[in-house]
Amino acid sequence: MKILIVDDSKAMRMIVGRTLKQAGFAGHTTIEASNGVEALSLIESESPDVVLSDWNMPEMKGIDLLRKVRQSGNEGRFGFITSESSAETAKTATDAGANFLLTKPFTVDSMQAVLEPVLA
Amino acid sequence: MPQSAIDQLPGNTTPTLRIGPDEVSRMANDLFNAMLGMRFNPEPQDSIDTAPVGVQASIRISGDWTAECHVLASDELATRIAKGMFGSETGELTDAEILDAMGEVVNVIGGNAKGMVDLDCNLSLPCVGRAVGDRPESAMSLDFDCDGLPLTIVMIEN
Repeated sequence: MKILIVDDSKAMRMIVGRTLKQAGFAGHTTIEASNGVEALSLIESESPDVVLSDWNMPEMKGIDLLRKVRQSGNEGRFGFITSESSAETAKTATDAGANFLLTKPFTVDSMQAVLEPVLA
Repeated sequence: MPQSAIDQLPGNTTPTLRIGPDEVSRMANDLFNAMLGMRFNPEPQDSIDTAPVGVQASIRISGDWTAECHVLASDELATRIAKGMFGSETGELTDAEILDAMGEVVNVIGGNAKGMVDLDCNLSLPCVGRAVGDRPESAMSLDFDCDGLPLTIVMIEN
């Protein structure tokens, strides 16, 4: 399975990639984008199976990325990894078609619990 | 005039903080201890110094709730935090990578604070650089022991 990690922070992309391996998802291929615009391009060219996106990014916020993806007819698995864990954020994400939401800071266990059903 | 009436005058009221020391401690512990695996004491320390001038990461929340969060660390601690994020497989870290890591620290704490308050507001992008300036008197400033070094978290609610 191909997983696209979208985050403007290189440090966070590293942590997400490392925690994915520690959570037992080492067999998957990961690719990275540093903002929503770059992610849109990679979604088109690489057709990732799953997108793990930050919420708060320059250029294009994660929620706008998701809306563009859904508007294009892409129904692939898309979730957020975000520190913004409010009920309002969760509702906005779900309404826009997000499949899951993982709150930062996360642990190996919390990532496993959220992503196991997604990556199974 | 009864005391209760005096207490209700705007100049004499003490604003109720939405985010207190316990919430800040819990958020910081979840980040540094649980996620990054660093030695972090969640009890604010009176006996350690405020973080010396080094790196300051700041973020602003605006909307129905307005607040600022600042995280201050020495260059040495900022480098250790960045190493915790980038992992042991990364070699020498650049200044940009260290600033990136500190930006993510304040982004996580600010985002968590915004989530706890759960009002209609927006989180800015983090701003990171050399620590400058004095803190306003209204700020809640907490000093923590992080990996044996002082880490200061400042919350300012408006």
